[in-house]
Amino acid sequence: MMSRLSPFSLVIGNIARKPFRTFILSSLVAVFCMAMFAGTVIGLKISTGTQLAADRLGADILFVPYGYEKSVQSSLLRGEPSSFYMDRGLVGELRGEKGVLRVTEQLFLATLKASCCSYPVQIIGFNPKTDFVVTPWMNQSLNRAMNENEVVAGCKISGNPGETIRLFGREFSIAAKLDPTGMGFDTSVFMEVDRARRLLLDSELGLLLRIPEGLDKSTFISSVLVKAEPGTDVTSLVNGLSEKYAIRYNLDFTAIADMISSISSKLSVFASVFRMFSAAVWVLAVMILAFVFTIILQERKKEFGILRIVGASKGHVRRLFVGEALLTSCMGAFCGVVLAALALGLFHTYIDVTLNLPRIGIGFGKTLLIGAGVFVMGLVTGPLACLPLLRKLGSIDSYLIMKEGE
Amino acid sequence: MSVLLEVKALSKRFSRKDSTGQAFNAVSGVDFLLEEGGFLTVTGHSGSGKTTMLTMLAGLITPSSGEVLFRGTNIFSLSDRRLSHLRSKEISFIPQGAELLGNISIYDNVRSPQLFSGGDAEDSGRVDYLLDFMGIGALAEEYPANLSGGEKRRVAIARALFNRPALILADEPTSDLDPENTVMILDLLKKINAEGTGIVMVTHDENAAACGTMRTCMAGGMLEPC
Repeated sequence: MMSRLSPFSLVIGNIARKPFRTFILSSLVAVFCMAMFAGTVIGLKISTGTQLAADRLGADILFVPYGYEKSVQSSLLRGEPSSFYMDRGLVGELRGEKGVLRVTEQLFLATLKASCCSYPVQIIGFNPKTDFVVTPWMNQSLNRAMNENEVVAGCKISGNPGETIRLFGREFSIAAKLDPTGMGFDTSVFMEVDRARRLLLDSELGLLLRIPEGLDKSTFISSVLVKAEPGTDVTSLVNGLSEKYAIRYNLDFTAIADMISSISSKLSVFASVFRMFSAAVWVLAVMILAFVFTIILQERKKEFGILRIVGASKGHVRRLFVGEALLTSCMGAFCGVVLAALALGLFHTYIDVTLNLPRIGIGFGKTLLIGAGVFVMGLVTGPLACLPLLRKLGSIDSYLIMKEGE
Repeated sequence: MSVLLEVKALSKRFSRKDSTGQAFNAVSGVDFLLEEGGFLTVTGHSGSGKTTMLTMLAGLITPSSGEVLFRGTNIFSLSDRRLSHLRSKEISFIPQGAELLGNISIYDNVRSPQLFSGGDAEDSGRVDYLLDFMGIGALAEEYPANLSGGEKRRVAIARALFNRPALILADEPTSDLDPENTVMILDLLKKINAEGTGIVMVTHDENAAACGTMRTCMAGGMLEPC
């Protein structure tokens, strides 16, 4: 018993018996879908990631030693370990300034190796009495003060609460682990700032670290974070504070929002270029497919003539032609979306590092939605390219043309 | 006997595709009657308008003037959908060169009219019967590219018979065939006609034309008794 013959099986037969033509046409749609999917996902990742980073930092202004602005960005966004130091005196001075609500300091230590990880770990020392940046994240997992030999670990640091981690030759107990933040916090270890400073100075590495001349070794820090009073113009505040303190303390200073928006705008340009490229590929795909379909139409007039002879209406012939274009696009769109998803999955770390993005996912639901949207766009590519040919397809006197060709 | 096909003053005017664009009548005022079960043959030189006339009888091109009445209905008064349906059910066409759909098997080619005839139930017995009737039962799984010219003609005839049409229009069914295959195809057509199917056959071949119960000749687009 033969399988049932249907317009769909006719379309399948036509596609299966022309594998090279099908491959070329599908590949064109696949390239468009890959570019569109990757561009959209990366674009969304940029906007989501940078906004989230700004929200999560919780501070409005960041002061670091002169020349280390980029280092602190990498450290905060992606956890790339870095060490730089400045005088703590600034913290006290800033507290008295108008428009300043809260001030806290952090100390950054970069290990060369740790028992937890095969890569250097960023240790962040914070002041529990004044902190408003790390503590909100810690309170969700540890609602008590840390003991002398305890640390809190970022979600990507191996080891569970109660287990130990070895840093600078000393054992520490993991008191709690942070929830994922998508930022450098995920690969950092947190401890009280004074303990972190002692740890550094007591270690052999402390001797090698670049602690500038004149810094008080019992109080040096790496950065100062400022939260402005509600309603304060942060730009004016930054300008005022930097004018007063930048030279005296040899500082780089930045408004967090500016830092984030600067990263964001640079990346947005990249995302825009990617989206424009995707759109251009789509238009090109439609144009090339339209051109190829015109050639195919000429080549297949005989076949359409036979279909008319066996009883196909003009509508039937059009639907078969569009059906083939739709199925070809469908294969291309599916492969394109799947390949792009695989590539993004495999190379997400490389992409994050290259774009200096916080390591944040956009979620399975959103990714699926983008995939579905791109798939639909890929799907309509073929039928759209057929549109100019449909009128011609209905008006050809196929049988006479078929005979003329003989 | 009742009238199967009535053709009244059928004409087709074309414009030449050269720079003159001059108009000419490919078919001019053709009239004839074909009764149920009749067999009309049309002979004539190349360019005499035979194929253009046959194509109009099948409703594949519209005439410039005139009517084609199939069992009393002017086929050109029907919508393209209804006319196509009529072509899949009642009026079958055997094209010159016996063109087949290259991407489906011989079995599927024979039953291809079923695709457009309103989704009737599968009739695998009919396909097997027709393939055996044409002596090509062993080729059911083959594709058209693997068949000889004579075999393709037989597949095209089997396809034309699939929906048990009342009328078959055959365009040069024996052209380019060797004598053995020519005799076989003509015998098949006579057999089909003897079972009550009306046939209009266009041919160059005088021997083939002798098969018909009515013989006509075409010249300059006009049809006359030979």
